[in-house]
Amino acid sequence: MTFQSRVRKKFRLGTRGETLKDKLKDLLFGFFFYGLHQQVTITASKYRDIVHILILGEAFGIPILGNYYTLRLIPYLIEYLPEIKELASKEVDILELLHEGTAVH
Amino acid sequence: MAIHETPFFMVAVGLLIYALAYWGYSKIVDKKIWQSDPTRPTPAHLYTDGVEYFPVGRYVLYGFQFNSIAALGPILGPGIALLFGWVPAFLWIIFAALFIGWVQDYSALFLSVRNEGKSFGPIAYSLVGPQARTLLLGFLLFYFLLITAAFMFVVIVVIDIFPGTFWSLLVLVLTALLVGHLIFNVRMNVVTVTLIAVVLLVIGVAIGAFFKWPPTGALGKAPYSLWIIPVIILLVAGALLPLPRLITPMNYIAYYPVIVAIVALIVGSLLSPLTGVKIEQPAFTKFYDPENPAFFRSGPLWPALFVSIACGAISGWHSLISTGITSKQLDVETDARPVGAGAMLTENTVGLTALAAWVVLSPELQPRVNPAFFVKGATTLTAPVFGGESVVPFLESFFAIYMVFMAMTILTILGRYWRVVSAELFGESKYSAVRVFGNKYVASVLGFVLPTLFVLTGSWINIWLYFGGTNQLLAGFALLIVAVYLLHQRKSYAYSFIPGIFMMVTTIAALAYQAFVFYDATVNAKLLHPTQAILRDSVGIGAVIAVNAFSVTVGIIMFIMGIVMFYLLLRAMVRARAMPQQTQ
Repeated sequence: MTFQSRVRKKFRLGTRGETLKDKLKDLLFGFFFYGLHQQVTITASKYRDIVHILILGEAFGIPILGNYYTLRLIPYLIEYLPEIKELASKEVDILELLHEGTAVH
Repeated sequence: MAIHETPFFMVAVGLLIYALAYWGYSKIVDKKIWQSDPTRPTPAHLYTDGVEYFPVGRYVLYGFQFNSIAALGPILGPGIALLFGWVPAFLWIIFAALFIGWVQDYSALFLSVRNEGKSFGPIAYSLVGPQARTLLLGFLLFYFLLITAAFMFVVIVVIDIFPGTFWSLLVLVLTALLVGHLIFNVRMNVVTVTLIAVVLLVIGVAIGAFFKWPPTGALGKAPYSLWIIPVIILLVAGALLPLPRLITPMNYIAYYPVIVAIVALIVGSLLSPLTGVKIEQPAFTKFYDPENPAFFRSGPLWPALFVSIACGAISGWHSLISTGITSKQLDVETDARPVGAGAMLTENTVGLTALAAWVVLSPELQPRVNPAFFVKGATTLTAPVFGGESVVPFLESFFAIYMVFMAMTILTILGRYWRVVSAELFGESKYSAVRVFGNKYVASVLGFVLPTLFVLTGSWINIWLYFGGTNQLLAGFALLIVAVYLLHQRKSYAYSFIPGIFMMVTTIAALAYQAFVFYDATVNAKLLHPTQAILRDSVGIGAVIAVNAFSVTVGIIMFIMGIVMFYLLLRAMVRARAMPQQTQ
């Protein structure tokens, strides 16, 4: 089980609420905790972006760390490369701000 | 007492109609127009990144969507709609719930799902053109300005009328800081932190119930009250602090009072035949009465009623949530109906129960012109259920702090939004004088000083209708952009186009009327609201004219933006009709 799937199971993210008890659990999680979970995930991702730039920066012409360190750290990123690529190539819109607080009405 | 004289009647009828909308109309639209297909991959599966795009089950997502759309709008709106009597307000909520509200939330969600989970900005760019995206950005800036004014007004008025609320608020802001520290620095279990927060929330409510100091009016008559100074200081600090320090935890704990308040209102409404609480407001007053100052400021029933109830009937902001967040996490297409339509119909139920809290107020209290009287209405509705007279101070304190804390949470987020959007718009200008407005300190302060000019108009009706107009204009925009997309696909678009046209025309008319009311006060150098006498006597009539002229300017800009948006969308419809069918 990968790290991502462990996280999803723990936070009920992929569940479809088969039994009534599960449905209720999902509903309460959605009501009370999911917004916070999302904000924490996005904040953590911003911090991770900084780490990615530090490690992969040299390849893009931003040599913050020397290759003595980056070549030793890159293997730890391999597992997450598809997600990093998705995030880095995503179109950024000002409306992404919505994540920081939704109930502005 | 006949059952139709109680709030139970309106809530029960409403629930029946909502069931019809959910299991009838929305099902037909889902099957026949959008043709939801559980096997078609959604953006959550196609572009999984574990941060924004990932599949989330429908029950979790429904809970989240409702959490996101349930704010203060549905609570405050009916207060002004009651100017025309409770029956028109009730009928509009029912009508909007059946044909417009869920249509917008659900369709915007589906539109984004079928467009790679894109937000409204890029969708508007591709379907309508680059001007539409720029207009949307400028429009958002004004939306932030107007909603900030509306909620600042609420905070100041409620704090002034219910002494002690400010100290409760202070306890809750400190609770939010503590929660942020415990979650992000100490890394304590979130359930434990939540329990601590709930205990502190209860202490905050108790402080508000017992420590009623200073008395009403001690710091000046609301909204010309010195309470505005500590409130602005709190808000600027909130906008400048890092997100996890205040905004994220405040946003999190603010929902606990919201859920308690909603449940209390639903229980109070449904048990009203047993508790004996009945409708006190008149069923219908007048369509328009220019001799009555409140009527003159609101305008005729059309368009005023249709922009006053706002989020309890339909809200443009919901479409931004549907396209900006939820669409990226929808597991299968068939979940769009429970998530988009289901959450909106639940919000309509909140709108109805809020209306129930307003209609039980005695007509002498004039609930129509003061948002703070919601607290009295909600207390009247719920007190017999929770213990009668003895719990009134607690309930009043609870509903007051619920309003103020929710408004403050929204305001801190708005302060941050304003700052970031200002940086985007002005920060990279080639003129240094313009770049100043993108500076984070200047933008944060301006983000609350400019709305203060609206607050100084002293007229809740006009501030709220300006806000309602912009919010509903966004709804019209969302409905029409869905129609443009459906036309591209050669699908039936009338179910979205007709409500879109209605919302656009109504909101543009409402904005024009509001601009006229401010214009009338400006050119005739008269007071828009009696409280402006404070400004006239302390500074001079010039200050009153300046404050009203500012509102005229904003109204005219919003009106022009609305017209241009409408034109662009209609042009996009004509172009879509001329183009060959696009595949999905």
